[in-house]
Amino acid sequence: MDGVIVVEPMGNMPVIKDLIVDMDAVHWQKIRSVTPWLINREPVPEREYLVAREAMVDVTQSMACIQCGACVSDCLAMEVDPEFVGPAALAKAYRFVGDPRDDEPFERLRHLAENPDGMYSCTHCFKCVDACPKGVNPMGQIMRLRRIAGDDYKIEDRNNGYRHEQAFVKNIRANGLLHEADLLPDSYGGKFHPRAIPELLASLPVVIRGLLRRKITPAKALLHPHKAPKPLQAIFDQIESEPKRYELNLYVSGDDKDNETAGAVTEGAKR
Amino acid sequence: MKVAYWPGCVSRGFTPELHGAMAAVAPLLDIDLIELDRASCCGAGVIAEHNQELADTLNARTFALAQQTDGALMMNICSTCQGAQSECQERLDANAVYREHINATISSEGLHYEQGVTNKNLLWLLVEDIGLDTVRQKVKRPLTNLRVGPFYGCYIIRPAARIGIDADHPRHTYLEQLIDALGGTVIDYAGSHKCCGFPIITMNKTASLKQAGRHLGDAVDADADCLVTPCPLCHLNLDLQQPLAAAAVGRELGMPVLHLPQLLGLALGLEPKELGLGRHIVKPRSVIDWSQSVVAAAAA
Amino acid sequence: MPEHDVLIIGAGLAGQRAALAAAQNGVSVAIMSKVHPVRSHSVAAAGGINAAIDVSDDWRSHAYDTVKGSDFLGDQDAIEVMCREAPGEVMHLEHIGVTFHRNERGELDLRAFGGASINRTAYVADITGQAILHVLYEQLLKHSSVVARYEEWFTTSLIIDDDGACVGVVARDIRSGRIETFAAKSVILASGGAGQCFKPTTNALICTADGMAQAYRAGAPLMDMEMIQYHPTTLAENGFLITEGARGEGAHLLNKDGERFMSKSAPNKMELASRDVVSRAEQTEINEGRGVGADGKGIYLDITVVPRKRTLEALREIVNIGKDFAGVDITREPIIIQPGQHYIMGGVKTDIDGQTPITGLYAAGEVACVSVHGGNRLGANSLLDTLIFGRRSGEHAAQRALSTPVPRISDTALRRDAKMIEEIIARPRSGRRVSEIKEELGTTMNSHCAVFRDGPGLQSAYETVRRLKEEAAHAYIDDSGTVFNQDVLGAIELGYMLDTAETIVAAAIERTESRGAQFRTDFPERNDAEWLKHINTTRGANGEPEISYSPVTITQWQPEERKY
Ligand SMILES: Cc1cc2nc3c(=O)[nH]c(=O)nc-3n(C[C@H](O)[C@H](O)[C@H](O)COP(=O)(O)OP(=O)(O)OC[C@H]3O[C@@H](n4cnc5c(N)ncnc54)[C@H](O)[C@@H]3O)c2cc1C
Repeated sequence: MDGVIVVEPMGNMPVIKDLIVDMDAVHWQKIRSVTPWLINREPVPEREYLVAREAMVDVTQSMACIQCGACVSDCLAMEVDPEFVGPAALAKAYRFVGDPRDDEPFERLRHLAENPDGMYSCTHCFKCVDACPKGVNPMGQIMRLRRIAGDDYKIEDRNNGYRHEQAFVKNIRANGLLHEADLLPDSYGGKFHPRAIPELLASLPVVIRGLLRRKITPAKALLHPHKAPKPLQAIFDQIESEPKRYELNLYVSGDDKDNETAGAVTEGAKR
Repeated sequence: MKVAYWPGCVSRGFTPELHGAMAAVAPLLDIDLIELDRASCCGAGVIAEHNQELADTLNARTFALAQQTDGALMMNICSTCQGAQSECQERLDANAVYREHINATISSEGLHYEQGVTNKNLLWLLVEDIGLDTVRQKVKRPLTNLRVGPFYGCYIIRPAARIGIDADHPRHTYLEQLIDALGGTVIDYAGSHKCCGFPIITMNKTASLKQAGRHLGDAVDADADCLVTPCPLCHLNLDLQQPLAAAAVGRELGMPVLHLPQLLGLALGLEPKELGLGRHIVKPRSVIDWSQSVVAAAAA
Repeated sequence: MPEHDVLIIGAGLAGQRAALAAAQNGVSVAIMSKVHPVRSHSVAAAGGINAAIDVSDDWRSHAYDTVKGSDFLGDQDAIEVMCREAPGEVMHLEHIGVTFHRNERGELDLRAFGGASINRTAYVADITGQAILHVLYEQLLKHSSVVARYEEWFTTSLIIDDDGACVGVVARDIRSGRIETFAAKSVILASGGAGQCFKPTTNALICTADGMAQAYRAGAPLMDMEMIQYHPTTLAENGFLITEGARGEGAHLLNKDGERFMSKSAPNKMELASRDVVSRAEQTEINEGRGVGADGKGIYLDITVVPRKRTLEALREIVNIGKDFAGVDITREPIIIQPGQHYIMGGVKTDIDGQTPITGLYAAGEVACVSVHGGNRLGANSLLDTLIFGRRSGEHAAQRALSTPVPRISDTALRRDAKMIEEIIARPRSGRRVSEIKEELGTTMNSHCAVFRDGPGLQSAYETVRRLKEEAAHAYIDDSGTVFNQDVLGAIELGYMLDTAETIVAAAIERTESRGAQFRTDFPERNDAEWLKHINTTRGANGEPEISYSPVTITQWQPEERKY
């Protein structure tokens, strides 16, 4: 704006003086909460652990974090929920969960899934992705934590994170389009699950208001107006039955464009 | 202009007025909508969180369907669709081996995704393809004195690089530009580029509602008549859940939230009713009153 | 008054490694750092760490390369220790979690580096220092019940008792401005290098020679101080480092005629000759009018010959540095670099267990001089040095502490330092600013104490430094507060830099030959007959440096002509 740059202290952390904030009270305290060290897989080999090349590049992405706290400063979830573990600490957690040398990924994930302010409290706002000066992609790491917790370890957390994800996928497989009326109860374990009842009661006024405004037609609330075409369901079934998830991390794989050799560039040097 | 049109799920589910409003404004802007009725949900980030390949395949399928039409490009009316699809597209376009792997799956339907589909939210299309000058010329009922707060939805503005924001495409300012082109007053308030909280409504309800409540409260404090959003999922948290959000932040809100095509339609001369404004949880009384007073003034 | 068995000043790689090693020995340990530990300058180390871990490699080969790299000034007993223990240390780092890059078999991948006869540099992309530093810090957090951390505390001086032993330090809590005496049975200095004596430098603003000056003022000798490394590839714009890893991956150096001029001075190793050789070759091209860039003071580093994909994966940081600070996409066009101050081979003289001649005082890392680098350090040997001698110091200091009583300390030093700080804050705004003096020091050193040196230039630098010392005594600052008063610390650091610079210039004047990083145009030959020895500087009674010598330890490798 007219060459004016606004400089202010980082957000989500108490200010000590001028632009100096207390990173220890927030950022480091959260880092310390995720058991931030490797718990070795036994037996510890005499030489190095043999691990896949890609696996190490993959965790190097979160290792590239310089602990600057920019993501914590910008985190929109932390703005309303100061207890949220937050992007930096969760990226740090992935650095161990994704490290084949770590012995306790399950325990780590269980912790973060069960914590009411843990990995399922990320609102998916991408703020941290843009704030990070090092390409760590904290939100991407959080999504991978969820993927591993849900898909590999089937951790049924009390925050409905896993159930919500399962319900969503089931919903789309069945309907092709999202059928919201089913999503809510299913996220709490199904219409008749005890956990669902208080939540449904709480959301009842919402639904009634919706019905009154003809937002939600009774037919919509009760019937499935749209069915997924067969080939779509086949896609779900095929991919879900693959023995291994196929994941493309651009940080590891790069872009096809990266393969171009620069060629004649050295010519330029001669001029 | 002919576009392959992806309305998304919510616009045909919990916010049907959005789909209706889009259908109503399209002819006024000479947009010819070819609806992709065989396409599926974009996954809203949740399917990608579950299984990236699945999300990428579903969206490759949608892109392939769009590429089968004679539309100049693919258009959506949902920030979340835009973001979730751009993310998948980024991977599909980056890696030929991966793309072929995904194409093999959708080939059973005779579909094939060619690298480089153009997929734009209505907002981008308005600014970049139709042009705000053209829009301005088509305005029948300028939004004079209507105080409108923009609310983008995260998925359509971040991450900036993936979303294509650069010096030539300041897409994070398009809503303001559009409100201005429609003759309205842009309201500057803290929440315009923040998160509505919807993605965690089932996991951390308090935090989710606090987010919505806070932004709505900021808009109230900034004296906005209404908010406008290109994202029906934001609409769910900001409008459908507004009573709960108000409770979460302990204050009255009563802030109407309009879908982008609704605001557009008003300025293009459509009536509130045609645009489904009556279907909102928070009745957009200020907006309706405004439009009536404009009509009355015109008659006088 | 806080008391610890072992107190470590500095939380870079050397300090953190020392702390963890000492803690393993069952003593009470504390580590102090003027910045948060992960902001220590070790975080900047890019290219990697050397160790003979390849099955076809041998630590003796590593040792020989190091001896040769040092231009035979390195102490061979210490070099043997370092190279022999290197593989074990790297495996230890791997076990505690460093994410070293792998080859297709899943083993540690090794990249080529300067002066090495085989690929022996383990690495994490080009953030090796950061990866190791953060993993050590993870371990400090893990062991926080046995290692106390004083983060953002600034050590102002060492405390020497009447018997001449080091028994603690005085330090200021930067956050509150409170000053305290710390008692310790053993003190390990791990406070890093002296790069800020030069401008430009690849070193961070915190590399202000604190430890060297503190030890020097306490009576310890500084050794090999004339040996200042100019790195061949620093960004012409601002002096930032472009890692040697780039040349390790295959990048070329070109003059304005597009010629790979290294063929003239190092026909076999070409760009991967040792750093002193490459920097001199570059400077010669520049001086003889074959440089590039607007002022002709640069050289092209052409990374485009490295496959783009490899560059993007293994040299990510310099891709960003090129883009952000020079506006150059290094995968598509050459970038202009020049030799720049990078490292100091000299430091507080120690033995192979980190012991200095002062009882109870240890030193490890860049602050120390064991001497494993002699006249010129090989790339990727410094991280190794910090870790090996950090660990050995930690172990030895802990053992010593087990049999040493808790020292008794008076508050004399505390009162003296508190008064010094009050005096700085109270200075009238009449003299020069601290920043001006620092600037003049840096440019002076860079003009006269760089790749090529000569008697008259060094003499004039010496006089400038003496004058700046006088001016510094009255230099004023702006901030008189207590909370995070960086200004007052800056004034103290200036004093450290001036003392240290004085010893650097004095030693460079003394050595009338050319060896390693010291190239005297007035004495262009190496002269083993007279100068195969270390120069030590100690603080004389009048405050000026006094020179003495110590022999170079030679075990297996007799000096020979150095060819690459
Ligand atoms: C850009 C760059 C790249 C490099 N790359 C490599 C490489 O690839 N391989 C390699 O082997 N070497 C490399 N080096 C050299 C190597 O990084 C350093 O020599 C080494 O990290 C020094 O470590 P250290 O622990 O001795 O000191 P530092 O890491 O500098 O730590 C010094 C510590 O002392 C503390 N301290 C200082 N003064 C005080 C005080 N007064 N009070 C309290 N605390 C104090 C600081 O806060 C800090 O914690 C590189 C150097 C640079 C500059």
